[in-house]
Amino acid sequence: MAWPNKRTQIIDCKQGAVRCVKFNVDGNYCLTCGSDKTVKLWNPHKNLLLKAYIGHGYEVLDAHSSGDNAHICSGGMDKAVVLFDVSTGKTVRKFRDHAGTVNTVCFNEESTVILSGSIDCSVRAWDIRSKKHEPVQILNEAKDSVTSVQVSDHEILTGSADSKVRRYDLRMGKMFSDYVGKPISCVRFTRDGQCVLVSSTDTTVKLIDKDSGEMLNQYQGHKNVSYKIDCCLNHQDTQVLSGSEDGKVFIWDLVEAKLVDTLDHETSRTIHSLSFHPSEPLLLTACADKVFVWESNH
Amino acid sequence: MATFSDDSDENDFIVIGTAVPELSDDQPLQKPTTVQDQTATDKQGRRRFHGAFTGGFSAGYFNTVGSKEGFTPSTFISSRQKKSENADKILNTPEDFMDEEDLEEHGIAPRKFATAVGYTSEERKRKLQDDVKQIASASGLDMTPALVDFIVPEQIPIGIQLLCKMGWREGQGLGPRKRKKRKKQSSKPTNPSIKMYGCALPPPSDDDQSDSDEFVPQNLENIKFAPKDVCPISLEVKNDVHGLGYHGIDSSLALPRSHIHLFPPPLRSSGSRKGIQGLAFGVGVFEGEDENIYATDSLSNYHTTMRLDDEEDNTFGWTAPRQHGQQTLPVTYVGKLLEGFCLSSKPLQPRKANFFFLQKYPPPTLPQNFKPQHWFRKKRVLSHLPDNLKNDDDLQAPKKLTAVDRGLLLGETPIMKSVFDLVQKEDMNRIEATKAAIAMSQTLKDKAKNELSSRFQTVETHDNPPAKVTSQVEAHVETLPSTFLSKFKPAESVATESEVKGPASNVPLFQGGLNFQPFRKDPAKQERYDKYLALVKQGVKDPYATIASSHMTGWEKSREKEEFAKAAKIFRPMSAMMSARFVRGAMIDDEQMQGPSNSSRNEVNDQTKAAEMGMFGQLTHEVFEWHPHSLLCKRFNVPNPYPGSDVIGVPSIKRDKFSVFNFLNFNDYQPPDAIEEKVPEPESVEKTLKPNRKTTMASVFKVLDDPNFNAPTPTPVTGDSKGLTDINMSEPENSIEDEESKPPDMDLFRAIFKNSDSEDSSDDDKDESKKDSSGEDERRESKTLTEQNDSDLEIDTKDIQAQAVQSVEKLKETYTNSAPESGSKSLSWKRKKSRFSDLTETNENDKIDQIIADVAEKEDALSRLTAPREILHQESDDEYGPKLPSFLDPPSSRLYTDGVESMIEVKHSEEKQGDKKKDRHKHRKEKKKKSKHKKNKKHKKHKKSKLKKVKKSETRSGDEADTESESDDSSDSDI
Repeated sequence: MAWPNKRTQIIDCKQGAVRCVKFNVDGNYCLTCGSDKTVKLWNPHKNLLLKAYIGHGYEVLDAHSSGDNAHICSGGMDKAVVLFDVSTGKTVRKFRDHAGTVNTVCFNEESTVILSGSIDCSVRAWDIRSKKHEPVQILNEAKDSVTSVQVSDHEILTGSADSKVRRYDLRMGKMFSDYVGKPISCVRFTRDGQCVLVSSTDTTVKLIDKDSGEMLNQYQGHKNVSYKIDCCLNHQDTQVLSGSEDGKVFIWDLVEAKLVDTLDHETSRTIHSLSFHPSEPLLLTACADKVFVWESNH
Repeated sequence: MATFSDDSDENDFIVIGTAVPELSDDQPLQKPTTVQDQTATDKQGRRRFHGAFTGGFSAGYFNTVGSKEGFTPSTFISSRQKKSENADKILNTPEDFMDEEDLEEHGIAPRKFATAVGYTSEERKRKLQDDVKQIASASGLDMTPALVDFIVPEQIPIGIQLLCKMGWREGQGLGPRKRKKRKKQSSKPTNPSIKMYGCALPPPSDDDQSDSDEFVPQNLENIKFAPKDVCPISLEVKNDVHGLGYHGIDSSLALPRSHIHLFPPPLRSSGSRKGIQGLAFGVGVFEGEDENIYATDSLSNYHTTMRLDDEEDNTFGWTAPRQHGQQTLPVTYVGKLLEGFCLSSKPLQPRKANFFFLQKYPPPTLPQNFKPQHWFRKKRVLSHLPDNLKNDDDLQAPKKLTAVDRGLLLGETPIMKSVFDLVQKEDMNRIEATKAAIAMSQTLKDKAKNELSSRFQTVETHDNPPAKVTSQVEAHVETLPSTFLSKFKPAESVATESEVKGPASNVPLFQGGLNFQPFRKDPAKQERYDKYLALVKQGVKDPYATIASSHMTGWEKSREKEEFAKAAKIFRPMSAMMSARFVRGAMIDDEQMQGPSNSSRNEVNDQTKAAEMGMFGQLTHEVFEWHPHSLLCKRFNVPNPYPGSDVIGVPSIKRDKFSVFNFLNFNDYQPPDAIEEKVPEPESVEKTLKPNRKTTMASVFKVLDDPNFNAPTPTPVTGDSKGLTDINMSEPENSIEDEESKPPDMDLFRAIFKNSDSEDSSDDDKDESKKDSSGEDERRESKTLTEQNDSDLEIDTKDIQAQAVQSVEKLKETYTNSAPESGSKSLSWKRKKSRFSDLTETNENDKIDQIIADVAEKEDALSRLTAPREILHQESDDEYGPKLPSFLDPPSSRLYTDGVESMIEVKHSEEKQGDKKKDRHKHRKEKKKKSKHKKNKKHKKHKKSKLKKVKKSETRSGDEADTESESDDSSDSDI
């Protein structure tokens, strides 16, 4: 069993606080969102900055690259969702309809729709094919800030600070909501798409069955009280990872819920964003102004 | 001079200026050099004015170091013999590194003539001091100035030397010596009444002549003294009309010190007023503080009388001030003597000019009872102030105005700090009464409800959907009164209070009618409004019905009713607004929270409990029906689960009403009376047989604009169809939406512009496609293009025209988004008409080619204006399943391939990236090209020339130009 336990690179992003780090689809590149209004494209394996995308008016909080790597969408505190062209670095579209900070953005599988979750209690679906400035649909069922959005082929998964995980199933035309009890900081589908990993601010990460809403497992030991801290699964769905407010990343076994390892960043600052490589045991974590690359030494 | 033409005479010319170059016919006229081309150069032809206007200096060779050849380091010679030679050449002063430009006027070290350093008097003094110090430190002596004078040789300027020879000494004034008069001794002896403490002052020394001017010993009375070295006070008569102390700008002061005036400034003639005169205005940065312009200004800061501050007594100049009692004032003198001044004994003798002036305009004769002091009439000053301030006699006393005071001054209603401040006594009483009324109505209502539910069970089921519609709207209206009321209730009664609902709870209790009068201009209306508010407070069902004056028309009534309702909603006090937004945890929601959210309260409790216990599952899991937007389904490649449903979102959940963001739009507002109707009241339900109020228009003009306008027809409302009225209420919005989506009446077009049968079919086609997205339209066109013969020229042009029309409309739509739909419709209609008329005019002629070119041009322009083409590529609604490969969709595929390209470019250095993508990419490209060629073929006949151009560009610049030509092609393919 291999998990990333060796720090191989430390990337100094030089863009203020790194708000988010995310692998692209194939895991060769990564995006970082900075508080200096830029999104940066990196080759994390070589510690190489490829491009900086400028177009936001305020801190960028989340970014996602499209499936064909042609576009990057990002959302930030300027309430805008921006679509960048990867090669030219120009702003292709700018969607402004959110009434508040955009916390999270996500492409759908075909990269034809951007879903953005915002502090204005709504998720907005933007059609990037059309020229419309209005969102296609507004999912405004949330009663508090939407903190996390993920999309599968026919589902939209949202987590919001009103302690509810909402899953919109387009195929069935249903919305499923699961009450977790504490504001949710991150929601993730498992790779098989059957379960949902939910981290909430009561310092727990829960694995919830998608259909019944039953809790399958609970992972504890880290610290997550006040920040929006990401969680994720490894590339084989065997481990659960979560950042922590004490400068560590916790790795649990998915089935046994036992703590496998902690990755010490040698800092007391919050590890708030992490992204797992889609096919290899490789982890990116963001802390303050740096991004750490972790690889397996097994 | 111009007459000379012979060659022989030319030698005699005196040429002044530069000759204009001769114009030769074959050479083109030279363009005049533009301003930006004109550069200031220095002597070496290098550009001057680096950076700032005079600033910067031309460093080296074109701002580089050294010369054209580069930087040449100085040669170092080490031989000892040549040292002395080199000693001269050693560069050690900054000037050695400067060229002549730097020393010029605009250089960094400009040189000018000035007094040599040693010759300025200050410099001399300083030098002397330095020398003294040096000597003192070297010898260790305490140097007295006298000694210094002995030792230190002084270089005395020639002028001073000459003066000294004439008997002048330093410290003396210039001029002939004078004999001093003896001063009065009376002031000298010390006053016996003044007691002296400590050491007595030394008696004035006799020999100290220069210091004590006043005292002259008696025995030296006949000695002449040099005049004092002082500036003589000019005792000029002030004979101009400038203010005291005014003097014009002194050119010697204004200009640089070093400047030497060889000639005195010319005397200004008194007649000319041109040129700079007077003191410069304004206060510089370093010249002390400016007045605080943001300070609050009040009347008390100003004097209302012209009198001096320190003058406490009411003498006002009639009696002379005490301190000047010794001076006898002439009786004719009116006014006060300034301190330190005395009256001159001589009367003022004006100059001739002034005298003339005075004669011509003699001063006014003063009335007998004139007091040289101005009192402002109090009434006039205070007339515009409110009464409560007029009473204040002591306006002089600086009074701090609070924000409330200022607000009062401005006629505002005082802002309350808390809700209780807001409540006046009588209102308090009223509230109590209202509460009682509410409680009463509640009990009544409960009874009625029971009755109703037993009688009309169907009503409940009907009630649900409209309730949702309205409940959204009233969300924020709802909460506030009850929260407000809750503040007046003891804590124990919260439970009962939670049940307090009723007509009154639908409208704000505090309509701001407290002081705010929105219809102040129309007193009658305001009166009605006040009544309305009162009725609303009392919870009367249709508050407006009783108020409406009889002489108003139905339309006016309905309009005013709407106005009142809006006013009542909008002009709520801030505190009420805030309380609406922040809801107490203990508060239980109104009955309008229907469906899941109605029961959600209990559920939430259960959920929290379950979540606390870790019992996730059934208790925490909820399922709602959710209607995704059809387009979203399409984008996700998922069939619409609710085909044909108009609802989008979750129909069973009402919108969150606690979110601040819900309050951002006030559009979805319904008057409270509409909401009131929902409250089941048995007697009203049975009797309401009233016209559907909502269909009445807000504006008469709407009737003109709206073709589908239905005159307000009374809808029969039966007892159990209360829900129907609610449905009707939401109807107008729906109908508007319908109109929006509805295409304009094309029969009309056809009737007017029908040209030939062949066109008719394409017309029809187009009309249909209008309704759908234009992308489909385009696809259809491309299809038709493949099917049609090349010779089918007419239809092609038709398509072009249609395209142009569409894109024009699209453009217009984007720019007139906010315009009312009916207006824009008519506009687009007009546009269409002109276009079609164009077509009919030219279609028969053989100008078709020209049209094509024309339209193509316009198309290009439009494509530039509107947007990338992607918008036009919307798919049809009824297409599901796996999507077509994107290369069939030319423009979007272009974007994609571009992206892939770019990524590949980026990744080029790394071999990790599989070749798959590249292959695919190539494949796509090839396909694209093929399709491109196909399309091109089709167009060859019409626009060979254009195609040529495209091809040229393709061949000219390989891959880079490819995208360009593609974009060209895409615009072609549209056509």
